[in-house]
Amino acid sequence: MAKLESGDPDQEKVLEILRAAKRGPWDPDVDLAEALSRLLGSDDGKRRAMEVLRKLADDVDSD
Amino acid sequence: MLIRINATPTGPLSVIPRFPSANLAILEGYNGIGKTLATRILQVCTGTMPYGLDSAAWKSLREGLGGIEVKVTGLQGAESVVWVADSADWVAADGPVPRTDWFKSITVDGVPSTLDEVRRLIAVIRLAGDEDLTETFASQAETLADTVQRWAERYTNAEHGPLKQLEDMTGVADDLLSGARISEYSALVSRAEFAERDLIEKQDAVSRIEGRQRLINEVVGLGRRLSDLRDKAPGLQRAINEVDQEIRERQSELEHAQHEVMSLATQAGRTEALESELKNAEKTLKRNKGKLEDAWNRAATTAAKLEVEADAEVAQRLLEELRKEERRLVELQREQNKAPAMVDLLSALTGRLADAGSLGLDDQIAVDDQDNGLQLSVSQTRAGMMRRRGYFEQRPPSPEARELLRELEDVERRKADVETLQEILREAERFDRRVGDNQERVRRALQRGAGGEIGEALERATDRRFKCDQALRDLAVRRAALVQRLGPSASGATTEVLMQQFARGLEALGVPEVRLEAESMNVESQLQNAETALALATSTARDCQKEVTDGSVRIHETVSSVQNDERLTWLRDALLARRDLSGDVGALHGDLVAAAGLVNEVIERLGSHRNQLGAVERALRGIARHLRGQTPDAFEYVDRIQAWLATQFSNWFNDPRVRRELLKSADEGEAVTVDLGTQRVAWSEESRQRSRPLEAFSSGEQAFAYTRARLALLEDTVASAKNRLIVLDEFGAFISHHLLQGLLEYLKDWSSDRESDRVLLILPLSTDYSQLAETAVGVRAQQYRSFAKGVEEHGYITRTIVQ
Repeated sequence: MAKLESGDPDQEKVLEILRAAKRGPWDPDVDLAEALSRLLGSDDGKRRAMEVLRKLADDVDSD
Repeated sequence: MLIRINATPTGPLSVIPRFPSANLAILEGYNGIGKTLATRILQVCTGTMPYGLDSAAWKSLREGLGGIEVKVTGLQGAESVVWVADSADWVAADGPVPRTDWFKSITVDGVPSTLDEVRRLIAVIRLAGDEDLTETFASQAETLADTVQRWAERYTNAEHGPLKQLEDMTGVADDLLSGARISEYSALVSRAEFAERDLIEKQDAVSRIEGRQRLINEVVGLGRRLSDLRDKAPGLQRAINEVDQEIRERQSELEHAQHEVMSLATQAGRTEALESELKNAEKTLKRNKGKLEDAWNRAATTAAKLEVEADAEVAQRLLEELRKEERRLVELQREQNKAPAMVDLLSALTGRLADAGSLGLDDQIAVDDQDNGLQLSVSQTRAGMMRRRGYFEQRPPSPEARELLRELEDVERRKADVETLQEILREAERFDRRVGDNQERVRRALQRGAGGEIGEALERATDRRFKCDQALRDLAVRRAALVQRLGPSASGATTEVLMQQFARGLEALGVPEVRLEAESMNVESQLQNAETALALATSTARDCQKEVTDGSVRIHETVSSVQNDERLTWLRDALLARRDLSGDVGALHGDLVAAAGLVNEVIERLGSHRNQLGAVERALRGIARHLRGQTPDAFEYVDRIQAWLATQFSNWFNDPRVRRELLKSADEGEAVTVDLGTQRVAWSEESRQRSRPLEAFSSGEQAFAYTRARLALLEDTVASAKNRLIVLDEFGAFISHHLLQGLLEYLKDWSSDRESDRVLLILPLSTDYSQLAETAVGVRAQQYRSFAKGVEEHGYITRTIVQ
């Protein structure tokens, strides 16, 4: 997923911690954390949310 | 960066009003004048919670500070930031971190602003000199836990935010699929199939018992006929014998009359042509007489079977009665069973819809139920109606309906027999007319050429002959009726034959004759029970089929929603990448099962994320507790995060300046490592492994080194603010004078690399500047006098080290 552009000061540190804690494909779910950061404050939140859910659904087979 | 704090505390609190504007400065003052409190207030204003929520210091601040105005000027990225607040407001707005609504106003360059914007502009960091290395690491872990908690609150709040938005959207899909009750559909189909099998078994049972009942009835019938034969046969046989005797007499009389006719005809002497005509007339009469006799025999047999006379009027009355009975039974059947009418209706409709399909209308909407949100195309409607027709066709009739059916079949059979009788009677009438005509022709042929007495005698003899013919026909009809009433014995079967048939029937039943009646009652009882069970099975099968039909409708409706609801675009697209979302109800059910699987997986993943963040936060706090010698109370992710933190902390020790101060003998080029589990630092010294507990570094003389480590930490935690004020508080008590000089040198280097950072070293007042001024000379004496005056007026002084 694309890099965060929200300017959230905590974001990079949280992602770094989640990556450090990683013990499975989505455990913890770094991809989802990045996706959530793109949703907050998005001008087109509904469309982005649809994209995120579609991606999550597509990921089901690759679990 | 110049900081002014205008406070009028309502309680016993003091706050220094001003922080110096310098890259590196020292603030030296008496205890209790509000140096630390000013720093804490600045931390709150810049979005950092400096106290534990339940701490007495926080409670004292809220209750005793009152109204304040804080103003910071000379920032990078802004001219000024002004906060106006009342600490009384902070009581109600208690929370994990300060929020914008804690303040009456926040303005950046005169424009109302938020705490988030302020956070990006300025950060205030307080480093306490009374912490040891272990506590520094613990604080770091806890700071990271706060960061994770803050982030989780922002993005994964259960009531609002991005994760909630995604959960709401998946909730729409989940609600829809739950409403379809797709997990029940397979069970419904299985139950319907089971009910269908059970119904067939019950039908077979009824058929089997009915078959046995029929066999019993046949055997009983044979028994009755045998009995009848034994009772009635003598009388009937006697009547037949009498008829046979009369036939013989009439036959003799006929032969005599025919002989007389032929004799008289010879005497009359006729031409060859007249002879030929007479021969032909006789031949025709004989042929039609034979047909007439055959017709009457058949009529007599058929009428006897119907137990009526072989008479046209009687047959017509019986036919009307049977037709009336048939109408009554059909009406009764229609009331009891709507299935045939539905089959007719659905057959007609599916035929029309098939025609529409051939015109290319299959995809057109045929049913639009807006109330229930159901739309069906022509092809879907046709398929549904065909399934329904199949259901009605296979639906077994109730026991009552089957009894009605039997009665109706009996009436129809009798009606057919009556119609056959009528046809035979019409045939007999036709041949009767022909025979009459033929007789007249014979009579004329005989009379030609004959006259006088011979002619008259010939006329009389011919009359006798024809009367004998008529009498013989009537006798033949009577005989046929008697034979029919007598049954098999008269038609060739003997009592012995009937007895043999009766014995074979009993053998097939496996029942002795004495138990035949009891067995008949037993089978009747079995049949009633079987028919009751069949009625129940029929009802159950019907109910199950209805549930399957309802389930099918739900599946179609749900698939339609998935196909058309714009809120489910994500699910539709994901499904279409895997499946067709078309086909029969079985395929559609499979599609919905797949959809439910996807939705559940996504919901599970979303829900897990919130839990994961909580577990990560708990792991960080657990590590902090472990470092402080407390029970971690955490397990998940602890090992991985602890290893990662250890790597981070190891990097501090690998800083050349820290290594020089703490591990002067460590081998160059060999990494120093921290093990948070054992809380030891390990390094190599002359190629030998050495290690030391973290606690061993926590002497006051080594606070200098900790400070360096914690300053390095700032690069990781609050590097994003454009301006930073770093306050080194409570220093001096742990740092000896020569190390303080070294620390100042280090801070000079450090701050010179970071123009947007301001470093303030707060020290307790430990020097009597009045006394120093008395012993000093020149500029130094003047400077000491100035310091002494500042201390006397304000309780503190500031010294600029780097402007």
